[in-house]
Amino acid sequence: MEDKQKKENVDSVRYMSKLRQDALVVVVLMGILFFSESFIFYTIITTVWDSTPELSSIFPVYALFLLLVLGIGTAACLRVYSSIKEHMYTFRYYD
Amino acid sequence: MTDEITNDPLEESTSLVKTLRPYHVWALGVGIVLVGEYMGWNFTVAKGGILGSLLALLVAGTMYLMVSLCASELGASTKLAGGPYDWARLFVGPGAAALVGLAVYMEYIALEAADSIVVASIAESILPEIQVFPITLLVITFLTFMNYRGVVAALNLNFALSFTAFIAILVFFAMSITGVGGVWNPGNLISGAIPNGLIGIFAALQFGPWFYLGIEGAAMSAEECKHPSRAVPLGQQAGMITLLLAAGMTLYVCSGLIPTDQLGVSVYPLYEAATNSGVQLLVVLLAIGTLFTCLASANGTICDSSRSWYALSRDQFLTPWFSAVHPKYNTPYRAVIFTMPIAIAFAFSGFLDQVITFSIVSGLVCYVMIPFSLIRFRKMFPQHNNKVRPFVGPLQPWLAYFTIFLALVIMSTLQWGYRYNLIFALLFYAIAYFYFNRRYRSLEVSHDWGEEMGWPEPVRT
Repeated sequence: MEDKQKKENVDSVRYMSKLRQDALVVVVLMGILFFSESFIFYTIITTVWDSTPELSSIFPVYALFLLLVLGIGTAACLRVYSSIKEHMYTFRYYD
Repeated sequence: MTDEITNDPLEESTSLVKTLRPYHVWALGVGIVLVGEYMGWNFTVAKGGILGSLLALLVAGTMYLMVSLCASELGASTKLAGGPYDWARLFVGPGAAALVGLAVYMEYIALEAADSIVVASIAESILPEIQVFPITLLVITFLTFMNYRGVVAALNLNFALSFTAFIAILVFFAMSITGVGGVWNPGNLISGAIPNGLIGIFAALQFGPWFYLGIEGAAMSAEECKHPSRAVPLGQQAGMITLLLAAGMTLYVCSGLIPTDQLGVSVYPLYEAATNSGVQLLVVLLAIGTLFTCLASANGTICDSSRSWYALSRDQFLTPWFSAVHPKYNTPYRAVIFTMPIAIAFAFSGFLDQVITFSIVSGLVCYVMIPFSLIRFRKMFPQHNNKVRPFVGPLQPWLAYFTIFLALVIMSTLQWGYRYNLIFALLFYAIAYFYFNRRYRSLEVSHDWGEEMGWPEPVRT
């Protein structure tokens, strides 16, 4: 009820616009992160693969941590977005 | 309007100004850490070659992403300037709080000293007639004054410096992958992929924190944020992604432009890579980036170390004299000024590498205690609501347990080369823990959650 009243007292168009700006920052950063980390990982691993026989035995560790970095980073960004969306009227983030 | 939806007694009793926005939080975190991309990270190459460096980047990156998530949740909930210190005080106990407060202070003050010396060394390399000693003093004095004068001014300066330094890395990477930033030589990677075998790869983890050391400090601005439940998570996660980007790009350009045996011992690897590229624009850009990132790091560490000292003082772990807030600038000015003599003492101790290692161990102590504080917080206050936990991190507390595991693994790798530093640092913190736990046990007993935080009583654990 209280949240509904607060929502009615704010400029919703402005709030949604500002929320989209926050989301855009995160999406752009994540996009560059996915591209650059995958590119760097692929380039380094393929460059040294043939000359480094030990790499095949520890490659799963590299792949696991790459997936963890990208997976946790994505989960974190989605949660930040949903948290801002949930609380933006309650705390009047964009006034 | 700030995030408070209830009357918060702390807001009345302290007067730190609440003006910071997400980009200030980003600037504080990235400003402290980005120096690690410009120098220091390359010791991973000396230990484990390019593959060791890549694994250190990924493992430490995973750990810091999780530390950032823990710090975001705790910072947005407590909104206190002490950061890790306050989280340990509230959710673990006084001994742990003093331990973390000291660890944060030592971590940042040692970094400040190191950064100031590097700035002075760069100035000396440009103008050989000047001396390192007075320039180091000048840098520390100037940045202390900036922090004394006001947190917004200090962090606006940090934003400009950090953004420029990050753009320099971005431009270097873009020019490198498009072929206009020098000849990227894959032979460097092949010859130095794994020089010390699998043990070397594992040992390289000890320098992995260089890529991200200090990012958790971004959450220490929570008490001075206009909307901490938005500014802290958004600024901190954006900062962490920025560092992951910068770390990967740095490793890529340096590994292809500098032979591995030289890369492992280089003082300024990014600047050296720019020099090797033969592109004058990059040389100038990376020289400016190196200088700016050192200044930003020193500036940010003064901000964070003074807040930790202020929080220790406010809770009577130290004399309350340090907890005074400036009537005009709203900064903890005595705590800020007190960073000067300590930083100068560190800077002129003559054992800088030992000081830096002490900073890393101090950081790792924090990376055990921060997730542990979150685990306790979740147990004591399981309810998710606006009052207690406005930002709820994903996959917790499992990520917190995994963070502790990774921090301990990385700490254990310090035995290769820094065994005595590790033993000394852990002994120092063990003594601090037992001393303060014994002396201030009464603080834990007399804790009033409603009065201090506006929260309900915790669940008994």
